[in-house]
Amino acid sequence: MDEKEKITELLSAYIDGELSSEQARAVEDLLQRQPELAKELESLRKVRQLIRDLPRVSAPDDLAQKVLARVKRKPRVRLVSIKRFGQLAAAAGIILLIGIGIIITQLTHKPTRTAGYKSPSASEEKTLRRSTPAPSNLLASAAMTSTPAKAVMNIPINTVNLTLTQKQIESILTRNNIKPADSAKMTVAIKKASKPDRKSQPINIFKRTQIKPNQIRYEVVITRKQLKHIIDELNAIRASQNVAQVPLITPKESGGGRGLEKIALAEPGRGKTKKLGKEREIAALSQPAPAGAEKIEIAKVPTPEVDRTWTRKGEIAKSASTKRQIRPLEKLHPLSRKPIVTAATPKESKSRHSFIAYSSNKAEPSSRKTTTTQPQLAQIVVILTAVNTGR
Amino acid sequence: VSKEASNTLAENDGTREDKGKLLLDAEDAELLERCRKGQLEAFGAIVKKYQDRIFNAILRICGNHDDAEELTQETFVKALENLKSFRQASQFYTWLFRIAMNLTITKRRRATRLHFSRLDSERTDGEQTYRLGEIIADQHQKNPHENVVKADINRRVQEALMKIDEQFRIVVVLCDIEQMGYEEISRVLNLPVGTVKSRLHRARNLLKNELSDLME
Repeated sequence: MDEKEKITELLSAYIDGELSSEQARAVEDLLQRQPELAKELESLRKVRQLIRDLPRVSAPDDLAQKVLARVKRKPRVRLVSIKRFGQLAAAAGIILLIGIGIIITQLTHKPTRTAGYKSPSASEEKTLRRSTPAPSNLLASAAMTSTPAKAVMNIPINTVNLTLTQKQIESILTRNNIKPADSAKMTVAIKKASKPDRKSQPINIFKRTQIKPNQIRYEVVITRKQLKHIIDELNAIRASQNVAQVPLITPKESGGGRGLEKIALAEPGRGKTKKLGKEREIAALSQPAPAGAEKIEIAKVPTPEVDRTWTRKGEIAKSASTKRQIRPLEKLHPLSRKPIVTAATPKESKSRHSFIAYSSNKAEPSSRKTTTTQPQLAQIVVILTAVNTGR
Repeated sequence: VSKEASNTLAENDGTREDKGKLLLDAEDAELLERCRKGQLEAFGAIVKKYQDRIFNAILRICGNHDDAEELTQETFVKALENLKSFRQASQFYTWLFRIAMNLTITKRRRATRLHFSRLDSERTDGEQTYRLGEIIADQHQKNPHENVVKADINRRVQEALMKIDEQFRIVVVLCDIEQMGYEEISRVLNLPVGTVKSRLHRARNLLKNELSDLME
């Protein structure tokens, strides 16, 4: 900005009265000494006057009414709703993220045991199995941490002797006042377990089913409280059998794939299983789960030391007398469906117990002195499958 | 538009105003208090009190009657929505002008969306058709023959205003039409006083050139 422009800028501020008294006096001195500046000043005054002379245009008469109409029509309510929508959206986003996080966590954990459920009247069962079960402490942990109101647990336990284990299991059940029941009673109990409003229903019952010469399944309807004790005692059986605590499976160990793992989420009341990842073979849950049941947890299974062959035990016939059809998948990885290297098949057979529990929100029966003010406890349908492979 | 205006409001209010320690007009304070209590008629009173000033300023800046009306309405709606952010550190009309100018500038930037009509375009109003330049030049001129010369000068001035850059036009309008001081303009536009001063100087020089024939 040159000197002349600075001076004219001062002139503009001078006519607006925006100069300090000192600056104003300096400008007045300049104006007296320089007539051309006085002319410039006069031009600026004229311009300012022309602008000032522009007539004031009034707003339309109905402007206030229109504004008030707009205010009444939309803003506040809409703004609130937008904010609420934003909050809801944020909350939904958080929930979604948590859900994704849980799924990722479960995938990362690579559970290798497929949870399965087969009701007393179930016709078939597809189970992807590994020959060695998880360590008992892990199983107990899984059971304890994954027993929400609606849960399905599948806890395999190795046994050395099926008969002995059967006695032990039944001893546990008896000690906990869980009595044997027939299929019909068990079916009713399982169905009613998912109906919290039903007060009178069979409870503390179990049914034993020989599903294979070396396999026994126990279906138990118990309370959530009892579940904890039973799990502890079952783990104690494992401990007494001195089951080897081998390392957990890793993708590398499992033949290059993700390992035989599965997270099955059953839609409440439908027993359907959502397939996650590349998994295509869904074991178990071929039988509708009890209404309201949600299958959420599969225990981790360590890598077997002697047998790395993935096998599907096959389908179980509808009636107990029908032999199961076994479709071996030894050559294919259950997830990738690619051929896998088969390790030496163990000459010794193995035993295993599957411990599967369905729970639902149920009030404890009055016999348990549960008052209505106390929080509802879940009744649990436990399916315990013992597989004796004669290790 | 709203977001930008709101942000500017939140950032500006209570900064430069704090220095001046301006007291809120008593009438405005009372009306605003009633507004905060949810009395819509109090807000109506505020609208009626300031609508002409806001409307006239916007009209001189955007040069379009309909746009000016729309922007004026928007200004008051925005003011009501953001009433909480007005911390009474400035005069209420300064705050209102800030909203109005922000809205106007923002809309002006979206020139493709907001059609600022040419002054020589025609607008049908009932059965009569007026030239916008004449309307803006003197809305109250019931009989154009009474002061044809004056109306023509006003139209020329308005046209000259529309020719200069918007940043200069706004300063001129606030200073010469709204007769705000430099300090107040700087608060409204969130500009340093020096910038206001130089812009005003340049605007007047540009207008002087545009209206040179009227200077004689």
